[in-house]
Order: sequence, then C-alpha cells, then structure tokens
Amino acid sequence: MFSAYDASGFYDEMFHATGRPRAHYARLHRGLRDLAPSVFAGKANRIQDLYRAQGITFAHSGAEHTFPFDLLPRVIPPDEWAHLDAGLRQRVRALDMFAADVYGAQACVRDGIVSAGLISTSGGYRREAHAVRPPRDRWIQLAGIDLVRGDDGVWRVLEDNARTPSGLSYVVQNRAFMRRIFSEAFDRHNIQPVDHAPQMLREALAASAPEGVDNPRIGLLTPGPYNAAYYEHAFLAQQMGVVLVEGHDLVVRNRRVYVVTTAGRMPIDVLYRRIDDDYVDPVTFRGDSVLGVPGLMECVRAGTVALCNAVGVGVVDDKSIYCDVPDIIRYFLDEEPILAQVPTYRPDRAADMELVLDRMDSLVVKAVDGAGGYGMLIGPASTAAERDDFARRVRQNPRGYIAQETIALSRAPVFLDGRFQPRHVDLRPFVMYGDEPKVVPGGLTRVALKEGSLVVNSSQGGGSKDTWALAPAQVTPSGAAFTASMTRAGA
Amino acid sequence: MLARVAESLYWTARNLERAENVGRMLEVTHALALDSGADQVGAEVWEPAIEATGDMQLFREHHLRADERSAVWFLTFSDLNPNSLRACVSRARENARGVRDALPPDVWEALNALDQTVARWTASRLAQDGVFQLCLDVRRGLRLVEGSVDAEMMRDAAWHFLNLGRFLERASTAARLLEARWRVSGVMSLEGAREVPPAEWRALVGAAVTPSTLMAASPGELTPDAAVRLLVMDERFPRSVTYALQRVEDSLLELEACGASGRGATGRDMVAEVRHMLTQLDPPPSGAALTELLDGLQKQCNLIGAQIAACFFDYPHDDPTGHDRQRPQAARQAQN
Repeated sequence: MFSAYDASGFYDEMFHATGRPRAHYARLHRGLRDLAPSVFAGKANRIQDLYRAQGITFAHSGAEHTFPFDLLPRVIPPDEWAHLDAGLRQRVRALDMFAADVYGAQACVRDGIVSAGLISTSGGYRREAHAVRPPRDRWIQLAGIDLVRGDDGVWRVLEDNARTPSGLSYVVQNRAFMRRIFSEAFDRHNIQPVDHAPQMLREALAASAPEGVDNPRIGLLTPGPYNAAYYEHAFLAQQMGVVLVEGHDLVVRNRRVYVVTTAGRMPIDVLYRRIDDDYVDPVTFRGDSVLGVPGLMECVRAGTVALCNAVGVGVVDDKSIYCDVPDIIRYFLDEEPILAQVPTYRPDRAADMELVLDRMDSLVVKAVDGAGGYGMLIGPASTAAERDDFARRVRQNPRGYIAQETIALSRAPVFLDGRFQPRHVDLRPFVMYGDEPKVVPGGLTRVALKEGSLVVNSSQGGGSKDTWALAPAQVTPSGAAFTASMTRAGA
Repeated sequence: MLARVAESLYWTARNLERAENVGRMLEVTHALALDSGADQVGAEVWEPAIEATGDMQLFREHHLRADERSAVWFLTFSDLNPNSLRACVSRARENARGVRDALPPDVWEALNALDQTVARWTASRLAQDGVFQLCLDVRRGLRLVEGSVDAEMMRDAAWHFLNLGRFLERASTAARLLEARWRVSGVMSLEGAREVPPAEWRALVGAAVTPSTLMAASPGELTPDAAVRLLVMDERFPRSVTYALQRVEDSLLELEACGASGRGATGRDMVAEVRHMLTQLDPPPSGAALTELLDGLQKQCNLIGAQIAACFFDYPHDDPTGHDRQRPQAARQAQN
C-alpha cells in the first residue's frame, strides 16, 4: 500500500523518511501495509455513501456536496497533543480577555499593546458592543484555531476563528463513521474520544447564561437550510438537545426574547448564533436583514439574553491584530505564549510595506477580511500579473492586507486513485469556553486534495480526515492481529 | 414546539401521503390499462387518474389527451406538475430538511434515501423497467420512512403533527378519488353505476387497498355500495375517510392535552361533526347525493386544514418576498 509513497520534500505526518513510519503511526502502518488496495477502496466508498445517505452535505455554488473524507486517520502523539492543548487554552483565554478589554476599559490600548487605530479599523469591530457586558464577561464560547506545521515540524497558529467557526459536527461524525466502517484500525490505539463535543459546547453556553438563570433555555440561531453549514447547525442543535431556530421563530417583547411555539411564546436565555453580526438585529445593524430578530440587541444590552459568541468578537480574529496576539497573551496572562505563530508582516507599517512589495513572490498575501481561501495570493505559485494586481491592491489599502511567510504545509498520505499519495494538511482544533477553556481532543484535519495545493478549504475542494489525539498510555507495537482482522473483514 | 417546525412536519407528512396516493393511482391505472387492451387505452382509463389528483385543468393546458405516455409522465416526473411523484417527494424532503433536528436520524435518512431513489429514475429507465418498478421503489421507500417513524419517534407533539398532515391528506384524497372515478365514468345514478365494468371498480378501490384486504372486506362482487362503505365509512380500513378523520381527531385531542395549542379552536369539533355525519349514512347515498357528499367532504377537509393552520402555525410568516430574500442572505453568512 505504501511501496510507491514518496515522503520526501516536506514534513510528512506519517513517515520520518520514505518507508519509515513515525512511532505513533507504526501500528496503523503495519495494519495497512499488506492490505489489498481494493479492500481499502471499498471501505472508503462505503464511508462516502454514509455521508450521502445521511444528507451530510454543504452547499457550494448552488448544489449540495458531500465533504470528501479520507479513511486513513491523522494521528497526533500524546506529548504533542498535551502541548497543543495547553497552548490553545492559553490562547483562547487571552483572546477572550482581550475582547472584554476592547469593549471595556481598553487598558491594552493605554498600555500600548494594541493600537487604537488598529482596533477601530478592524472589520470585526462593532461600536455597538461597547454598551454590552456579556454575562461573566465571556465573549468567546466556541473558537476554531487553525494550526499548521512546516518543514521544521513546529506547530504554528495560522489564524484564529472566534466568530462562527464551523466543522465541529464533522469531527464528531467522522469518528462515528470511522467506527462503523474501519473499527479494526482503532485496535489498542488509546484514542481520546470526541463524541461529547456537543455536550461540551452546551456546557459552555449554559455557563454563559445571564446571571441568576439556573436552567437556561438555549437555542441555536441558524440562517436556515440555504446556508452552507446548515447540516452542522441541525446536528449540533440535535446533539446538544437545544432548539434550532431561525430569525422569524423569535420575537422580542419588553426587552426579552421569546421563541414562537404552537402554544404561544416561551422565553429564551441563550442564543448560540451562526449568523454574522451585521444580520442579528435589523434595528441595530443592517435594516434589510431577514435573518435576525428586531430588538435582539436591546435584550442583549438589558442582559436578558446571552448572544454567543458575543457581537463584536470578530475584532480578536482580525488578521492584522493576529501579529499582536503573543503580546496580548503576555499582557493579559503574564505568561509566555506556548504556541508559535507564522511570521507576519503588516503593510500599514512603512518598513513592512517595503518588504512585502519586495518579496511578493515568496510570501502569502491575504486580505484581512477574506475567508475560505479567497482573497489570497500564494507568492511562490503566483504569476507576475497576479503579483502586480496584489501589489496595487496592497498599496491602495495597506490596512486591508497582511503578508505571511509561506509555510510549506506538512503532508499526510491520502488515498486517491487506488493508492496513497502525499497531500498538504492543516488542523483545526475547537476550544469551548464556559467556566474554563476546554479543547476537543484532536480536531478537524483538512486536506488539500489537489496535488501541490495549499488550500484546504471545503469550498475549494478540500477534504477531511478523522484526527486521533492519543492519550498518554501508548500502544504496544504488534500489528499481526490488526492485519488479520482487516483481511477477514474485507474478505 | 416551534410553530415553524410544526408546520414543516405537517407538510412533510402531507407531501409523503400525496406521493403515496399518486403512486397507488399510477400503479392500478397502469394495470387497468394493460387489462383493457391496447386499442381502447386512453382517456377513459387515464383521465380518472389525473382527475383524482385534482390537476386535470393543469394537465389539459399542456397535453391534448390523456394516454399512457402523457399521463404517466405528468404524474411521475413532469416539471409542470407541482403534484408529480417526484415533486411531492422532493417537497417532503425539503420540508424535513428544515427541521431535521426534530426528526430521529433514521427517519431523515430514510426520507433522504427515498428522494435520491426517485431522483435516479429517468424517462428512459421508466420505459425500460416500467411503472410497476417505480411504484414499488416509492412504496418501499415510504414504508421505511413510516417504519422508522413508528419505531423511533416519541409520541409527542412532533409525531402528532406528522399524523395530522398524513391523515388529513388521506381523508381528502379518498373522497376525491371516489368522486373522480364517478364523474369521469359518467355514472350519475345508481342504475348507471352497475354498468361500470368490475375491473374499473377494482382499480378504483385498488388504489386504496391490496387485493387480499379487499376480498376480506368485501367478499363476492364489489358493488358501488360496498366501495363507498369501504372507502368512506369503514372504521377499520386505514385508507377510509372515517378512519383518517379519527386519527386527525385523536391527534388534535392529544395536542390539546399536552398543551401544544395556545390560541383558539384546534378544529377538533369540526372533525367530530363530520365523523358523526358519516355514521348516520346507512345505506350509503348514491348518484347526485353521493357526489354532493364527496364534494362536501373535500371542502370540510380544506376548512379543517385552515383551522389547524390558524391555531398552530400562526407565527410571523415573513411577507411573500421574505423567503426570496432569506436565501441569498443565508448563503452569505460566513461560517469560518
């Protein structure tokens, strides 16, 4: 299965050299080595059928697609996971305090950690949030932090997603399908479970309820079936046991939000919203929004409902402010940052501008308000015309762009066209924050299915892998039983 | 339970029941057409089938005459017919998709599979494999949905809203089916009715019942009286008007009891009244009186449906353009 696999050229997640698997992959490698590709392909097809049968799809360009799934899991050894877990908790704790400070005392501005101009020009900044103090000053209930690993094997934060990160449902569902289709592979791996992730989110939301509310009524506010992530909204609502609502299911009376039931109106205490700030309330924000609830922000200000994540929290995942996050961690927590970052340049600083224009062919240039892999120039893969275009845009709007060193993303084997081929991957772990920050073990490994591509986003042909964060007690290296059971299952 | 969710469940069930009825109608009509020989197959066989779906006017706008080709196409896959088999299944799935968190995963999965099964049928496959195979596929898919509902769902408000949609649609269709056959056959009197060939009576009743049940319920020759008794009045026959209205009444009672209804009358009194009226019919009416009865039943079902909507589904529906505006805005929400 791996005889023709070339692990050279990039950091490979599974092999430290061609033909030589890393220790935490040894067991899977032995199990798979002698397996007929047709058996593996059969399993891969069945798992894709499961996704189709359950209608687990995302909408893209007007059609429903399944999210391509690769059957070979991504394995993270216990020591690495412990490091990531601590670093992610630290980061989200600091970002949450930063948000509270931005819309509160702004001590970090006074002390010169983040410039006032950077905050007020951030696309995620909302003036209206200054009047708001969310329950227990919690601003981030669910964050998705994108991590990458370069040639040196070092994990780095690529970007933070503190508004409406998606993908948690796939973490849970991928694992459930893996268990059904490829149970042999789980043998003696000591994988940390992820099934409780929706429950973790529920706890974070419940902990963020308005003060004095013991048994909060929680709802998930979705833009509806036409949204790309609608499946995820329905899945999370069902798994958390909370009501899935659209804007027109809610009404505001006397600064209280109610959900309209067949028996009349029932009050609601916490709304986990998956719609953008600008659409949550047509009275406060965009008047043409049909997705939000007129008067919702008034209830938020009155403290009768917790809107999660809080309005205005987008300021913390601003791609320019990203550069300041290590200082933000030091300032608010008085700790050294545990996780490394990607070296990043800000063209709104004169020195950086020169460097960015000069090195356009080796950097990645991103629009600060871009997402989903759009609005981005990957220098080494760009044409002269594209570089000229971006240089002009950066000069016109320095605050609108950042540039980062190109990370040669690590690769992992992906089963394509009947054999394993190396493809670039990243990792999005999910952090819940109610009482304390908690990380779902593992996360969503995203795969760039196109050969050589660095773009892993699902809207651009990305796929995913089940991600195994291993618990400390390690595997005993013997693959014989594993191979035997797989052969039987395939026969 | 959310008013919007209740309404979507109700329409999911109504559309599934409609698909069921179209499928049954198609199957028995097709069998009848085969029996009656190639030369005569045409309007007298296929028109009642279309009449029974209530879309005759729409059919005439697009087709000159009802024959195997035009009628089958119209009833199965035609984009012009909002009540085609495919349209009903797809609408049921769309309604369910908007409330999939309120349905057990197996139910949604079965519904999704049914939609995919129907979507895979093409005109050429229909020509090759035949109407019977399509109808079988649909029936099996529907049974899996219903079986999953039966096995998995709590008997709570959600279940009762599915019941309301399913059985109100069934009551209304049973009445329309009988009336259509009556009218198209040109039989307005009891004397005339006896001239209807037995095969056609079998087809009429057969759209609602399997042959063995039919023989058990009505041994010997199937008379018009027996057909009316079975399709309208029989309390044991699951596709009769009486049986369906009983289920509607039961579910409304349960919804009232569990506090799911907040505003005004649920429509249960109206259902009870119709049911009472039906128990007083013995012997069953014939001729013009029967047409009047069947017509009245359909009107009553419409009124009951309107009352249910007013009582349970009264939430701030957006203005008519709201739905059109929701789509682009919803698609635009970043899910990073």
